[in-house]
Amino acid sequence: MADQPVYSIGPLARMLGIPAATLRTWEKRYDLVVPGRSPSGQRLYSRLQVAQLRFVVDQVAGGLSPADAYRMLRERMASGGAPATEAVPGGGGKLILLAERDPYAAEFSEFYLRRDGYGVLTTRSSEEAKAQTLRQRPHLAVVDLLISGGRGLQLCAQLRDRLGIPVLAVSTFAQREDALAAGAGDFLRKPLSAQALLLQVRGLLGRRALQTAQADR
Amino acid sequence: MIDRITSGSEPLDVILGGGLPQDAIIVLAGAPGSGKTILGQQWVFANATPERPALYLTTVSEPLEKVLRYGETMSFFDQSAVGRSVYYEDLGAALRDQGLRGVLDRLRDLIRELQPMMVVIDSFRALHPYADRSSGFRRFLHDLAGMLSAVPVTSLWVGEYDEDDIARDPEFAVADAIITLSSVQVGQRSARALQVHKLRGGGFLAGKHAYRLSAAGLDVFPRLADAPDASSYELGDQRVPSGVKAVDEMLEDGFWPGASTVVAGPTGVGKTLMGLHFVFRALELGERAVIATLQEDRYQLERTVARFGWTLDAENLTVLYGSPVDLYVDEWVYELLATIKDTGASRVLVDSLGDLQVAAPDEARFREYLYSLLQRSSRGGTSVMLTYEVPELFGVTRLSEVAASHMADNVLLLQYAQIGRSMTRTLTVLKTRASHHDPAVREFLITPEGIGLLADGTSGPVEP
Repeated sequence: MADQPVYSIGPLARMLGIPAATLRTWEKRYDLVVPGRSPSGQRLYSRLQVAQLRFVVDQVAGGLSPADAYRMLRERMASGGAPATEAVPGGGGKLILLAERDPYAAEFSEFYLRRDGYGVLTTRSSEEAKAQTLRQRPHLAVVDLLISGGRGLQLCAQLRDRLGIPVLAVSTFAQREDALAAGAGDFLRKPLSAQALLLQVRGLLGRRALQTAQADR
Repeated sequence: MIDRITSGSEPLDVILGGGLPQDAIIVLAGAPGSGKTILGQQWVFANATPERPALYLTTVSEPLEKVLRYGETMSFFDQSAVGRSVYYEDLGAALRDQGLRGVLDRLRDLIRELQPMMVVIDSFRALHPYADRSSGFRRFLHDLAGMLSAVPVTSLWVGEYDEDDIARDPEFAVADAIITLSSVQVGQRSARALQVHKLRGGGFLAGKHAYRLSAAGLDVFPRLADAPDASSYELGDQRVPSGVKAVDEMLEDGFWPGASTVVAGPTGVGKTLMGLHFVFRALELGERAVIATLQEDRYQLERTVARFGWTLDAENLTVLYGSPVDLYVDEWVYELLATIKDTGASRVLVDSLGDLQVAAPDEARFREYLYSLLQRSSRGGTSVMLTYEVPELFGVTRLSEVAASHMADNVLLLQYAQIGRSMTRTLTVLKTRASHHDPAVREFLITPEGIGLLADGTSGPVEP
């Protein structure tokens, strides 16, 4: 799965902190990290290619010229010492429970989460969400507050208090305060952008990892 | 509170109450050639960025190549943005091969890949024949609207619809906003009109708004229809001289500042000359003035004013000429109001009201334009004189059809009168608001110095 193209050039450029134009120039000039193309001709980079480009960017940031950085990458690839895909930020297989009443919204959220490397359990009702949580112990839950006729706040409280699962609440309405009071770690207003969703998920998982580490100490 | 996104046209944003509703579905309907595609592209180029790109999708109505070729001729079209912040795609192949299901699948892939903030589907109506039955199209609409509502994207569905389709086609029920582009017949010519029929979650300026198409895109003129404003405003009590001393005496020392005066009369009687007196007197007093003429071009007008010793090159004078042919009243009134504001003019001559009336779509709209013009001028302290030609050469009996005669503060009537075998001219003050006036019918002459009233109303010496 590592070679599956997952990143388009815009998000990748943002991730690496360099202009998209630089990526295109490097691709043309060095002809080493060449992304696949979508049916519409858009560049799509695999996780391995993202790792390779991150390696180049790190070398350039360390003082090498792009040409030397690419030369070093070429040598490493030839010797089998290519950069590891673990360097690419992402889900790392963590499991997300997606409790979303809207099938269209669920489809997009699931796609973006999976593309970022998460495992996703999608449920369409509050009861199903609780059952799945008990069975599979997800690392985080994304809960639509309007699920099951508006029982999302109760679901937040149950997941957080009884099962200790961090929750990202989402809603068509401005329900931030209600969501936080019900135990959600954060809140997003719908419709969700991929960037906002992934940013919040990463943030909540990072916060949880920190809390766990502190508790262990 | 629905957030708004600019339409790419500032005046259109005013009509829309702040812009297009964000994350909404908007139907843009109109006949071929009405400028739908131009407005669609104007919108995407005004908003798209590499981080929040736009997706322009053609279907089977117009080939993508043609959309691009003609789009390139527009001044807002930025070729460097194509493929970076504005993505053009053709849904035609997916539609032909897989029908409406193919459109949904392709659009889903594109949204996932590009995460656009704007999607244009042009032409949306061309999708209709691909539904096997009407319920098939409704199911497609349900899925499409569901998909577009699940992500932060504003979509514009462009189509060749007519007014009847709005009540019939299901996409209009799904739409959060409906905008139509149409033609309205004004006399012997047709004029373009934009109308907002529906806008969920916000107010908008109702009615038809004139617009033009140019290389800069769609330029719309929000319909002038100011609501009556009862709030008070200060204008001072310094009277404004008319430019003809004898007339000022009939008016108790001139007009009130900010007042509007209609000068009505038959052709050639001296209406424009009365207006020129009004304007050039302002210049003599060191004030600024505007002549807004639909009657004569600058060359013709220069010849007229030169006969009386004036010149259009005078400092503090601005001449605004508009051809009565292909005149858009809204555009003209906006230009006049902007000129008054820019120049700080204290007096304006509008010559003539009749030309404006002919260019107006209907009598009700003409009254609205006039009310707004007079109201705004008055509140700005600008005195306005408007000429109006009446058809009767002798014995004008009615002015009731002249809307301005009701709205104006003052009405001066210039007439021809037959005395024995010769003809003369007369002036009557028919109406003055908030002051007294001399009700006499005064004979006047046109001399090289301009209008001169006969001293005693019969045959005495001329009073300037």
